[in-house]
Amino acid sequence: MQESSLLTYLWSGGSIVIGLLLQLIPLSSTAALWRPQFVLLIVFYWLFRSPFLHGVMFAWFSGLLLDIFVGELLGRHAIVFALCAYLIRLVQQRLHHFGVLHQAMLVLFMVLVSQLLLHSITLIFRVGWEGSLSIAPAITSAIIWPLLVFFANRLLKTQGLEQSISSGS
Amino acid sequence: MLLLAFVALFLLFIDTYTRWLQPVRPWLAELTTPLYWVSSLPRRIGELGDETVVSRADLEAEISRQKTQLFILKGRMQRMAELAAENVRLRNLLNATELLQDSVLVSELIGVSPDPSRHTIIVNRGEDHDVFVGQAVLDADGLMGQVVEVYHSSSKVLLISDSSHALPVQVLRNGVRSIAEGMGDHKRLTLRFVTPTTDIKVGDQLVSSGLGGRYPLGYPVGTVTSVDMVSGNPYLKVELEPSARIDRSRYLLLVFSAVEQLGKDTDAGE
Repeated sequence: MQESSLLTYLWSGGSIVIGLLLQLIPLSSTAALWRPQFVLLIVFYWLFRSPFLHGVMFAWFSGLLLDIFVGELLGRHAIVFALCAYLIRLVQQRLHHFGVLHQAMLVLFMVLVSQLLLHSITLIFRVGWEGSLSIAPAITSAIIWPLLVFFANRLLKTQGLEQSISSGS
Repeated sequence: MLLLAFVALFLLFIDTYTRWLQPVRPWLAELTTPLYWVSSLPRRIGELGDETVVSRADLEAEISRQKTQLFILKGRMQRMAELAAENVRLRNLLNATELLQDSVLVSELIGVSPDPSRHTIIVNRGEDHDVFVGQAVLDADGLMGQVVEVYHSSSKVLLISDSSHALPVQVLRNGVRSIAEGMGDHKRLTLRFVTPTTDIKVGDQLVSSGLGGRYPLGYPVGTVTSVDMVSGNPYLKVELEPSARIDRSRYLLLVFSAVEQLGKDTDAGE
């Protein structure tokens, strides 16, 4: 059990790094507006997939890592991701009955919430900031969600990790 | 959950209101540089492909184009040398200080801020190359921005198009002074508080005025694209297009202003 959970953490950590990469790849300013919240999506994936190992703490650390890489206000993504994970935790019991499309709706809502929170936090802490709130990342995140779940499941299956990860505890 | 939220809030507070995190930043930047480098790989590989797979005809066309350009520039250079000499003579006559030449350091773009509302970039020169906070950054066509954070071997540059950036400029045609502000858009800048009687027209070239001591004098900033009188507003709405290719340029120049170096030398002398 110890070994399998360590392995799971390795996988989730690795996937977060990939998410960071996707988040950092330079895009043109219009495309950057539509960039999905890759790191948050990956955090959600692990929250859904193995809720015993990944919770608020995991989300918080992923957010902090993203903050370090973005290099702006430290702790901004950390608090927002942790809050989102907490909200997901509240509906954890119902998640088992959700299909992928249902999950995508939830993702749409949660990314929207995260955008709103990020926007408010930046407004509070960065004086004179004139950004605008955009719902584009939420839409692209929801669209990309089924793909992400499909490919991540396929990948884990080919690696023969299906059993050890989904048992989770 | 609550504890984590408080830790994050605490971090936010000390990051905003104190300078305690300043020494940590360079180390964090060291940590992040490799990933930034990897994230720029797709583009690098694309460029490598473009560079290696070029048709002979294209190359020949490129060479002849460059030869022509070199010829024209050389011709202008001859005039330049003469003008510079004349300028020095005239300045001597006026008993003015000698015109000082700025020196530059070539740097390469290695990262772009992932936050679309924040126009910052990361370049591959830092403390090791004597880069300092406030240093002006140019591309081949005009002013790009200024250095805001210096790390060991990289530094962060705030672009002139960022909505928190303002830059003193003057109209090349008549020397009218103004302030150019970013609007969070790579293609537009705006001039604030231009009175309706100001002599400014569409097509006017704006250069940095050197006031404020941040930017060196006389580098191109942009061209006026629209001058509008908005009814009910006491000032003109003036927009410009930046000369620098802010969202495209790959190689940037860090300017070591001559005045700055002079100051350093005298400091060292004392």
